[in-house]
Amino acid sequence: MITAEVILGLLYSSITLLTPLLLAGLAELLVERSGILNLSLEGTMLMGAFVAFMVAFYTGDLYYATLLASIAGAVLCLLFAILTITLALDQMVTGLALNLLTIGITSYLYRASFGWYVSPIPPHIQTTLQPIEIPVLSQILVIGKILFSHLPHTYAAFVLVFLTWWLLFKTEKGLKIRAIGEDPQTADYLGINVNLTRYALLILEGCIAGIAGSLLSIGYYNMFLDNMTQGRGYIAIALIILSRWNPLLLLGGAFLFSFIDALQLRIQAFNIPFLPYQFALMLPYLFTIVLLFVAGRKVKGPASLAKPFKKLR
Amino acid sequence: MIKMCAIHDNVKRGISKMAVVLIVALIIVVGIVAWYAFSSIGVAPQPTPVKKIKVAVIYVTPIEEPWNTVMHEAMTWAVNNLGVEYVYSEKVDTADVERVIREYIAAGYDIIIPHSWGYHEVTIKIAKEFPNVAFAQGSGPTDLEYPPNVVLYDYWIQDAAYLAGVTAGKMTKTNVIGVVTAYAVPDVNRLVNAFAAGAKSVNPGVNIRAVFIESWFDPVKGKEAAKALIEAGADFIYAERYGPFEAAREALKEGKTVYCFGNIVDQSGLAPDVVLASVTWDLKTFVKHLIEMKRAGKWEGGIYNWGMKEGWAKLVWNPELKTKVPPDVLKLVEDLEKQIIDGKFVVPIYEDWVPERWK
Repeated sequence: MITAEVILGLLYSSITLLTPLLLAGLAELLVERSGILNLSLEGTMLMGAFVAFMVAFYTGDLYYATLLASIAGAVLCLLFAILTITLALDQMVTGLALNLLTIGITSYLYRASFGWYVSPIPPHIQTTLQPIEIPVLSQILVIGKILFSHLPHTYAAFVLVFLTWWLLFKTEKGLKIRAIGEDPQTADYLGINVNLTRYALLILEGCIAGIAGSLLSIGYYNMFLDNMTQGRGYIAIALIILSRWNPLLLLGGAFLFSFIDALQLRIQAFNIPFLPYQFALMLPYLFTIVLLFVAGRKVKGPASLAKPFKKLR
Repeated sequence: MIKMCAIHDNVKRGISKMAVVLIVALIIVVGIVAWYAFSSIGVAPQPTPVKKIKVAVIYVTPIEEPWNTVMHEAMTWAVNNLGVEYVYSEKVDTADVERVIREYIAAGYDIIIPHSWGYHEVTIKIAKEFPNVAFAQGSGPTDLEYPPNVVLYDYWIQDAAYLAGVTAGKMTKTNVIGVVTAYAVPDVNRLVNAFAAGAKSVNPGVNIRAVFIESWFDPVKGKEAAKALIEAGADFIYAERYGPFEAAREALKEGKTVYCFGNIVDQSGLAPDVVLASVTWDLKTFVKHLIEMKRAGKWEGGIYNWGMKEGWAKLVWNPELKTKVPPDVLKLVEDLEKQIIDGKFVVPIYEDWVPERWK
């Protein structure tokens, strides 16, 4: 019953579920390293999903859809930046407020464009993003199909893991970002432009999170549904804490979480004896609690995380 | 010089105070004039020979969710064909529904339809206070006592789910059929169990696999769940939630035929190449019945468990794929449908999910 094909399917499915979490998580990780806690990640992903779907629906062009999703995400994060950096508002409250705003705006605009009366079948697009098979590599026995036959976003996410790690720990820019996150006042005295760095990182986060969201509506599925991100942004933020703000650990944590999720679906589908379906449903949550207990103790984030910064000079 | 400034300031303050008073007065005057202008339009005598029945429906989620779409469609049909007035509120939180219902009652609505399980307590409470207002509560516990002005209905479409199960049980080649569904709650379980019972009735050796995605609205996860089922060998999937159609389409591209059943509304248009039929719910006859009762002044409460007989549930084939169904299966399903409608056959109802039952 449990064949190699099944295990391949499990791993492939894990990587599929992993991609949006990893993309959004990496972007947020950079921002959190600079001392900003952006809870509006969830809303940014939702906005990305919505804008991508609308553009794809009206133009049929998935490239423009992705591009505009990333611009929309950047605009939303820029708004967050203005509110929390320039106006120094509370980051948690602003983030949550923006999430509520996006849920409202997206469903309002959806209605405004498709009318108040929707036919039994929701609007949907005809083609979705197609996986790219990397030549040669995808022919490798067993692992070729799992690793090298995905949407371009997945490859980008894996490359980004190492890029963020390299940026944070191997470059002067990364050192500055981390310095800002620990002590923005001192960093400011040393001549680092705290606000500019944070603005730049937030706009970058918006671009990436918008694309991560667009995956849901034009990559993995062909519709937009109300609040369709279903808390993936929050999960990404939780995974950052689990991974101690380290991109490499984030890859591991996000993969493990997606793997457990894909696994529990299969425990149900294969009707594995002695494992009741309720146990399968419990697995992802059990995993989160156990991992937090094991890895989450004594974890300290960037010292200035979520604290507004005011220039004293 | 200082004195001058003070005087100047005082003058300034005086002017700004004056301005504020003037603006407020202006707003009040404009408001009063507008009020009279508009209210006189409203008061104008209207020649209404028959009093229009006013119906208000309250939804807990957006109307795109099939559970709501069915009611919205039936009400839109009623507006065009029965001449009723229809308003709705969507995404009304259970904690907020009391206010919304009271507002509709105050606005003179005759029939209030709180279309969600979570609303039932508030409905009972308010219905007792307003015995002259008719209520139709969309699902709720059947062992509670409801005031006489409350009609309780639910999606009793297990008859159609049973027929889908019969089709799948007869046609499956792998002897594995699956369901992608939300949560193991009674109204969902009723359908999943009926689907399983239908399949088992014609094919005792068939394996039934249900995957719960623990969300009402997550097509991406629903798709992954369906992929898991396909890997487990399922060649028929009852899509209680959005998600499986795209998985079946991907399987089709790889040369694997997996047929899906849509749920609640006819979803064959979403994926004409994989949706074999849809287990549908039609509330038009029910809404018509409600309106006729109210018009006749004879509103009767109680639990309505309508089925296929009343035109409430139906298995709707996808015209493009109906030819793929062998004639003997089609005939079997049609005969069963007739038997159910004639009352000769009753589809079993189970409200709990016990996988061992279908071993």
